[in-house]
Amino acid sequence: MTQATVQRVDSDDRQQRKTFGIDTTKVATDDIKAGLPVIIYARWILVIAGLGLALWNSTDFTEAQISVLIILGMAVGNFFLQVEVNRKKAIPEWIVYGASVIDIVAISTVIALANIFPTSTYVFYMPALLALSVTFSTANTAKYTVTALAAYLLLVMAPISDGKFGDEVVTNLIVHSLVLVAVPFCGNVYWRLERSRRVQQIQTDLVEQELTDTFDATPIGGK
Amino acid sequence: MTNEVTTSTKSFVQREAAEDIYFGQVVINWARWFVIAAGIAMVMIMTEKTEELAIGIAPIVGLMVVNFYLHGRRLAQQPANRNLIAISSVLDLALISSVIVIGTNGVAVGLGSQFYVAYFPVIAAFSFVMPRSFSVVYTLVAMVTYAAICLTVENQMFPADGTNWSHVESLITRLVVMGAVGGLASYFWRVQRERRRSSVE
Repeated sequence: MTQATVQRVDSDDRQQRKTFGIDTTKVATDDIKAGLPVIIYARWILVIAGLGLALWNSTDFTEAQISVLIILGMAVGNFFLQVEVNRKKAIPEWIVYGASVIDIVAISTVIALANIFPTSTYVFYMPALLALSVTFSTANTAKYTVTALAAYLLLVMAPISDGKFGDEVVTNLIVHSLVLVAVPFCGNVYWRLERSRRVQQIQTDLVEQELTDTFDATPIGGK
Repeated sequence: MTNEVTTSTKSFVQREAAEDIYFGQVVINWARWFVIAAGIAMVMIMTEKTEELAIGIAPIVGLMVVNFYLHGRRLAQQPANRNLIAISSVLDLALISSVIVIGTNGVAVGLGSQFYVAYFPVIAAFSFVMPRSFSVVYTLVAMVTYAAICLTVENQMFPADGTNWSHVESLITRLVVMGAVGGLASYFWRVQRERRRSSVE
C-alpha cells in the first residue's frame, strides 16, 4: 500500500465519520427521481400547446400530419412515464435521458418543418431545457443545451439565407441564443445550490443529533 | 407545550424562507446578466449614431449597476433581502417591457420584437427563489404586461381589415410558455423544499 493510498483511506474514513455512516452523496444525487415530474409536466405543456399550434398554424397538410404524429408519439411516451412515476416505480435512467433527447429532436423537427425565422416554436425549447436542467447533472445539462443550440442555429440558417440577412436578424439570433443558454444555466445553478443546501442541512442535523446523544449518554458530574 | 411546538415550526419555516432568498438570489443575478448581455448585443448592433447608442445603453448600464451591487453583496456574504430582490426583479420586467415597446433603430416593436424571450430566464429565476404566491403574481404581471404591449403597440393582430390569426397564435403561444416556465420553476422550488425537509427527518 503506497503512502498516497493510505492517505486516501484515512481521508475516506474521516469523511465517513463526519457523515456518521450516512451516504450523503446518495441523498444529494437522487436528483433524477426528484426532477422527473418537472420533465413530465414540461412535456405535457409541450404536447398540449404543440398540438394546438400544429393544427392552427401549419401551412400545408403534410407538415400538420408530421407534427401531429410527433406530438401524439410524445404524448404516449409521456403517459407511460407519468404512470410509472405515479406507481412509484423506478424508471431506468436511459429512458429519462432518451425522452429528453426526443423532446429536443421533436421541437427541432417542427422548427425545420415551419422553415421560418423567427418562429413561435422556438419558445418550446424553454420549458424542455428548464426541466432537464433541474434534473440532470451540470455536464449533461451542458450537452443537451449545446445540442439544442446547435440544432436551432443550423435549422434557422435555411430560412435566414432565403431572406434578408440584416442587422435585425443577427440581433435576434444573438438574443435567442443567449436566452437558450440562460434558462438551463439558471436552472442548473439552482439545482447545484439546492444540492449543497441539502447536504449541508443533513450534516448539521447529524452533528446536532450526535451532540444530543453524547449529552444524553454523559452522566451528570461526569461519573 | 403546543405553543412551543407552534413557535418552533414557525421559526423553522421563517428560517427556511430566509435561506431560500439567501442562497437562491444568485440565480436571479445570473439571469439578469444574460438579459444585460442580450440588451448590449441589441444596442451595439442596431444603433448607428452616438446619440442612439447613449440613449440605448443608459438603462442597460443602470441595470448593470444594480446587478453589480446585488451580486457583489451576495459574494460578500451580505445578500439582499426579499423586498430588494422583488424591486430589482420588477425593474427587470420594466426594462424588458420598455425595450419591447420602444425598441432601437430599425428593430420591430410590440409583437414583432424578439426581445420578449428575455422574460423567460427572469421569470424562471424569480420563481426558483420566491414563494409560490410571489411567483404567481410576478408571472401574471409579466404575461399581462406583455399582452397589453402587443395589443397596444403597433397592433398587428387586429388590423383594420380583420384579425391576423397567425399573430394571435404567436401571442398565445408565448403567453402559455411564459406561464409554463414560471409554473415549472415554482413547482421545482416546492419539490426541493419537500426533499430538504424529508432528508432531515
